[in-house]
Amino acid sequence: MKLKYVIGIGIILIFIVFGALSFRKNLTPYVGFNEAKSSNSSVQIIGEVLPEETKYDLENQKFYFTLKEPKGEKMNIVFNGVKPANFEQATSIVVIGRYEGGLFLADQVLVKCPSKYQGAK
Amino acid sequence: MASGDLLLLLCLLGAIFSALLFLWSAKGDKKILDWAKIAYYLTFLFSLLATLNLFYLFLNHNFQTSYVFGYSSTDLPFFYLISSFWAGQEGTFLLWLFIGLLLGLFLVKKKGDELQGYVLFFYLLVQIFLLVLLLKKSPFELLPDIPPEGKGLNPLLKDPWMVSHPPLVFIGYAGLAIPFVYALAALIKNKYDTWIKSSLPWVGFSAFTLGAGIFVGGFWAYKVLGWGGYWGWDPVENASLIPWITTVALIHGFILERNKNNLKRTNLFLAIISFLLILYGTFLTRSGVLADFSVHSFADLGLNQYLVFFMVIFTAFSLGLLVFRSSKLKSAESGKSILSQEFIVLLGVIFLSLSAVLILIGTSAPLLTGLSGKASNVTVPYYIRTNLPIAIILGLLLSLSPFLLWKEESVKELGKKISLPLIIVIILSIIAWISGVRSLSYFLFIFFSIFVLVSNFIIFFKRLKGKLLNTAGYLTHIGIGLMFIGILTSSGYSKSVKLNLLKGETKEAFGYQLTFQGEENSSRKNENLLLVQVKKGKENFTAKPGLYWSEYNQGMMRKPHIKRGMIEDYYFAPMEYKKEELNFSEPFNLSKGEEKEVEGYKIKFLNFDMTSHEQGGQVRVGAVLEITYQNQKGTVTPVIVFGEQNKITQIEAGLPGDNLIFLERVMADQKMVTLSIGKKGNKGSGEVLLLEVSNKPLINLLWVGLVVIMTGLFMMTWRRSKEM
Repeated sequence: MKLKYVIGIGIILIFIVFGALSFRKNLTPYVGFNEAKSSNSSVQIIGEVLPEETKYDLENQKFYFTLKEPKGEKMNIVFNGVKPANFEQATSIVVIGRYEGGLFLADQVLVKCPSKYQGAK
Repeated sequence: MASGDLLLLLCLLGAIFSALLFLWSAKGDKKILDWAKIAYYLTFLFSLLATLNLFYLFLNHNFQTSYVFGYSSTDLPFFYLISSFWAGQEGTFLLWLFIGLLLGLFLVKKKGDELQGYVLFFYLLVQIFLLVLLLKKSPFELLPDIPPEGKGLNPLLKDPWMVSHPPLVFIGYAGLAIPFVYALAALIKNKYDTWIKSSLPWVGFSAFTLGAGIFVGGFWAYKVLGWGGYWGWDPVENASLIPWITTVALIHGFILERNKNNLKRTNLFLAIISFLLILYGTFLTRSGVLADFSVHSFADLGLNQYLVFFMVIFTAFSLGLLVFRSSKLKSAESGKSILSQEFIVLLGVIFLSLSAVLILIGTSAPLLTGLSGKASNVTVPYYIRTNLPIAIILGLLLSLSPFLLWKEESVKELGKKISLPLIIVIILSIIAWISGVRSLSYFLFIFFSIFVLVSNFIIFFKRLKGKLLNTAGYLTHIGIGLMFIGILTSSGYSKSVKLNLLKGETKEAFGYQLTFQGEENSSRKNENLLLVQVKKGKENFTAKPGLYWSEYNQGMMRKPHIKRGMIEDYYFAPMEYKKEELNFSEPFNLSKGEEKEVEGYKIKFLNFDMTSHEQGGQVRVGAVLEITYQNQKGTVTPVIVFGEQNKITQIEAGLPGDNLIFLERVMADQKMVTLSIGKKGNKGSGEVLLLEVSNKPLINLLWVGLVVIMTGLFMMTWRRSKEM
């Protein structure tokens, strides 16, 4: 009886600690561009696209674009994937990734749209 | 006021009235109970009429109704017109309400249920919550004037799978209110001997429908969205997964309580929390609080305060009641042995709950972190890292469970039973290792998944001699084993190649010779498909992935082409498509009958072509031209389309010598047109398609596994409903 409780509680404790660590490790805070540039970990930034600085490099399959903050700060971003749908129509773009050597390396690009796709789910 | 709103209002009044009568009847008054039932039937009737009313408005293209305008159009076929009903939030609330009241008929019909009065009182409170939301944001809202045409249905939803996905999910949501209200009724009455028997079939039913809904949604994502996966851990997806997991935990808790009189409090808690999690998920996905964190951006309908209000009331009342009663709720002393079915099932409940908690925390991360500072999100690896070890442990439990009985067992006995299956598992695992499963966590995962499969398979066949329905558990667990293997192989070991394909050029991927042949105009309006010739030995087919602009979504749609196979699927997803850049000539004017020579073409304007000139607010004008090129004569007709809001679309015509001619302007009064020639043939500016080709090894195991799980859950529901 006792042993079972010890095992049960032990397992739950291990998982709580493990879950909390994973949670912290994978947490990506929203930060401003300046903070993103000085941060070493994965962060989330948001900004407006500068359309004239958007280009897709077909050769190397990389997508380059630049975001601007309301304050005027700019961030050059490279995304190792395709241009997301709705990119041109986006009111703002959310990028998750890290800053390295003058470029923001995006893991994920999320598009915020003025139109509402109301999920049917 | 629209007639639909009146019906909803009557429905609300009926529900309130009926709820009060049921509460009154709970004291044991049979006469009142009969009246309460009549009130319930009327309430149901009003919801049925409201639902039919909305269908009617859709079928009649009543665009004055804002909801009909927003989600349908006259060109939709019947099938999709029906599904427009649940394309938006207001309609899904109505669907939820209707299904809820429909399922409630079974509760009303039930005879000799001492909890009935309270059960239906609480059940109607849930429906009242939905009715308040519906009246606040009604699907019957009218527009000030009548638009000639609706906005149409989101093209992503034009898929047979997507037609069935929302109803399935909402049947599950509606069904999960039943164990919730039974738990509340049992707590109020302080009688706990019948609520499990009465609600177990409903728990199974909800696990089956909600699970099927999630499955269909995942399959749809794989088939239509073109990102190559079926599950993205998006808040919208998690919102239905979390209550599903707690429901599955509840099924196991019920089994334990029935056999060992154990887990009384836990089961009440799980029944309550599964429903509360649905409310919470509804709040998360519909309130707009996660708008910055989800790929679906949800419009805030202004229902937040109502959603929060109901959530707080339901949570405070139900959990408060549980705490109040819990001191008196005694479970039986549990057995001592670790090696018993009892302990295994208990651990199963614990780990399923843990998984639900971890996913819940991840999904709520923006809210949780927002409390103490900057709102942050967790990335997908969080979900995988935390759930993989749980899945491995669940695998271990499911492997041992078929060999254990409810009584204690010795290690020796167990060892004897599992030695043969273990040998098979080890052989299969070695094969998996040789085929490339090398990382420790993946190997453990595949080892136990195979183990689950083998042990449950053996016992399933042994038990088949008895009653078929009694094998539901083993069958479901076989499905789990298949699903686990399928998930690992198709996502963990999928390889992908990105290819730049110039038109006409052939490149190789996975042994396939791929040749991009250019664009094909699909029969569906503006949905151009890209043609890629695929060859491998005798196999020869044309893959037709789509990459086109959607007016409705104001974005690019990517539709994959999937080559299904027994062993693996090949997934062709277009990523970028660059059309050929043309060199345009100076625009030039031509009067009727006039001939000019431009870029080596003799062009004569014969007459206008207005054969099909007006359809749906569009005006089409074509210019019939006689072209003489290298002494060959022919006619071509470039077209210009004047759409709504001054939108102009040009449909070019091909010229001999592989150039194109465009109609730029039409001056009908002067019988004159402006034309220009677009020249091809610039080196390095030809059509390029960036295509991603990936394989999805053994993905069929996932789909088959899911079908088996659903079959098992269905059998279990069937069996328990006969015991009711």
